[in-house]
Amino acid sequence: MRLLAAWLRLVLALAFCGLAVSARCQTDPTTDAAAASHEVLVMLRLPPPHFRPDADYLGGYARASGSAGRQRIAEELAARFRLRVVGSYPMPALGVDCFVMQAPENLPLEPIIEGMGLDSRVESVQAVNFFRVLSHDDPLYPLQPTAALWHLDELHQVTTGKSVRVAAIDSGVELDHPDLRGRIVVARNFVDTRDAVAELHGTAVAGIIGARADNGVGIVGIAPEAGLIALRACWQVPPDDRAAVCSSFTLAKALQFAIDNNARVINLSLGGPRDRLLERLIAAAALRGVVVVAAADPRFADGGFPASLPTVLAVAGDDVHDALATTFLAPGRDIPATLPGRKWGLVAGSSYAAAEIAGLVALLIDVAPEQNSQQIREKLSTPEKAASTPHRGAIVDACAAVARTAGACACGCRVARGAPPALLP
Amino acid sequence: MSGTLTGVSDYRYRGSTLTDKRPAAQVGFAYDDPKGWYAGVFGSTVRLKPPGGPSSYFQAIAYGGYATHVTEGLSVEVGGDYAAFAEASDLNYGEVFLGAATDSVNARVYYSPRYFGESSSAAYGEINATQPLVDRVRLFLHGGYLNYRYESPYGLVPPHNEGTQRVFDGRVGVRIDFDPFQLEIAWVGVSNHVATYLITGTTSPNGVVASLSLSF
Repeated sequence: MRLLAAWLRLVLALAFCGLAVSARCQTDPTTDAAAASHEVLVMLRLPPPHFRPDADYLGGYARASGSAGRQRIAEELAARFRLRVVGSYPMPALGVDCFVMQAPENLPLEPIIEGMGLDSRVESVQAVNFFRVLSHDDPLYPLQPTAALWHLDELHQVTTGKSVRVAAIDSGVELDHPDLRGRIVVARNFVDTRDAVAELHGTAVAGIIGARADNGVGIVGIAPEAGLIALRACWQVPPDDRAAVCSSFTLAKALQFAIDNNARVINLSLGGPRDRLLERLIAAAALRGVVVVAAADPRFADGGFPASLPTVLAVAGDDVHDALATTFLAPGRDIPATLPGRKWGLVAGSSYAAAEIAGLVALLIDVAPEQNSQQIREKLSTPEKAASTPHRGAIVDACAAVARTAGACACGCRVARGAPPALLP
Repeated sequence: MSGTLTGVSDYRYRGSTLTDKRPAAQVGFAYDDPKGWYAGVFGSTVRLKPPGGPSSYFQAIAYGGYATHVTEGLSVEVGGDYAAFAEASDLNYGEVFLGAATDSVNARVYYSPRYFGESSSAAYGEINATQPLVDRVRLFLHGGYLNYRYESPYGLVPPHNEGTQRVFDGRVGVRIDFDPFQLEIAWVGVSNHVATYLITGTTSPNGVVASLSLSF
C-alpha cells in the first residue's frame, strides 16, 4: 500500500511537471520565407534500435528514448556556430533526427555547413531550400476532363482506391469542405502551429485525388474512396493565393510522416532545386514500395526536382508541348476542383495533372497491391499511342492501365452486355 | 546521454510479475555513442519473496552493446546485460544477446547460463512490432518464448525438479505520446502463471498494465 501511494505521488508529480514544461519540438511559424531562408538542417544520427530495459516493447523505437539527449547535442552545436535551434523532427526512415537551426542574417552558411559536418555526431548538414507549387491560370471548360477522357464512372465499377492511402504533400486542405468530409484520414500541419489552414492549392489537389462521389454536390475524385493523408508542408504566399512555397524541412517532415503512416502513393505537385535530404527520403519511400508522383516543372528541361528523379512518376498537363518522353500527360486545363470556402472552381496546371495521376495510381494499386513504381510506370505507358500524338510526353490511357492491371475489361465493356448506343462514349 | 523515469502499475518481466502485481518506480540512463556502441543502467523497485531466501525490493540492470545499420532499413546488435538484486545477490545473473531490427519489427535472442541465479541456463527469444495508429498513438505487439533448463532440486515450477520449462509471454498495447511523456496501456499474458513462482514467490495472472514515463 505504501508503495502504491509512493507511485501515485510520483505520477502526480510528473503530471504537474509536464504541464509546466513547454513543448520542445514546435516549429516557429515559417511564413516569412526570407528569414527562413537563412537556416540549415542538421541531421544527427538516430541510434539503431537496441536493447533498452526501460523501452523494451517498442524495441528502442527512437521517438522518445534519447531525443532529449539529441536536443542537447543540437543546442551545443548551435551555440558553437552561433545558431539557434528552431525546430526538429525525427526521420527514422533515414536513421537521423533532423534539427533546423537559424543563422543570423549576415553570417555565411557555407563555413557553418562545412564545420558542422566534421563533428562525428552529425550525419549530414544542408541548407534549407525552397520549392514552389506549379500551376498556371487558364480556366475555360466547365466539365471534369477526366470524367469523359478516363471514363471515370466505369473505372469506379472496377475500383475506387478503397484500400490505398494517398498522401498529398501540399498547402493546407479545407478539412470540412463538403466534398472532402470523411475522406481525410490524417491531416497534419508541418508549417506552423495552427491546427488546419485552408489554402487553394492543397484543397484543390486533395479534391482532385479523392473528393466524395455520389454525394449530390461538386466533383468526383479520381480515387473517391482512397484514404487521404493531407500534409501541409507549403504555405500560400500573398497576394496570389494560387502560389505557395515549401521548404526542405517542411517537405522532409511530411515525407517521413507519410512513410510512417503507410501512404502507398505520395503526391508532390511542386518543384525546386535539387535537395539531398528530400532525394534520400524519396528513395527511402521508393524502397518501401511507395509510389511518388510529382509535377514536371516547366522551368527545367528535365522536369526539375523531384520530377526528374528516376523513381518518381513525372506528370505534366496535356497542354504542355515540350515534355520529356518519360513524362506522363493528364488533363491539365479547366479542371473543376474543390476550393476553400466550401466552393468549387476551375484550376489548371501540371500540379493538378499530377493529382489526377496520383488518384489513378491509387486505383491501380487497389486492383493489384503488390506493384512497385516500375510496374505502375509500365501500366501507365502506352507505347502504341505515343507515336500518334504530337506531344512528346506519354498521354495516359486510364482505361487501358486499369484493364491491364485488372486483367479484365475496364471501359466500354457494356458493348458486350448490350448497352444502348446513346450511352457509349 | 538520455534518461527515463517511469511509474508502472505492475513490473512484468517477460510476462512474470517481479512486484507481486503491485506498482513500481523505475529509472534508466543510457548513452549512445555515434560509433554504434551503447551502455546504460536501469533500476526498478521489485518485490521478490523467494521461498527459503531473502526478499529483495530493488533490481538494477547494467547493459552494453553495439548496434549498427547493415543495409537500408535493417540494423543488428550484440550485447550483454547483468541483473543484480538488492539483499538477494543469489538471484543475480548475466545474459548475452543478439538482435536485428527494421523500422517497425525487431527480434532478439538472449542466453543466460545461470538464469535468476539458478545453476541452470535459459534462452529467451522475442519479437516486437510497432505500428502508428493515429497521431501520437502507436500500437505495439510483443511475443516471447523462454526455454529454461533446470537441474537443481529447486526448479522453477514445482513439483518438477528437472527438465525443460517452456513459457510463452505476450503483450499487446498502445503507447500515447505527449512530449516529453509517454503513456502505455497493455494487456500482458503468460502461458504459465506459476513460471517464476519459486523466484518471485507469487503467480502472474494475465491482465492489464499501464505505465507513464518521462524522457529527459
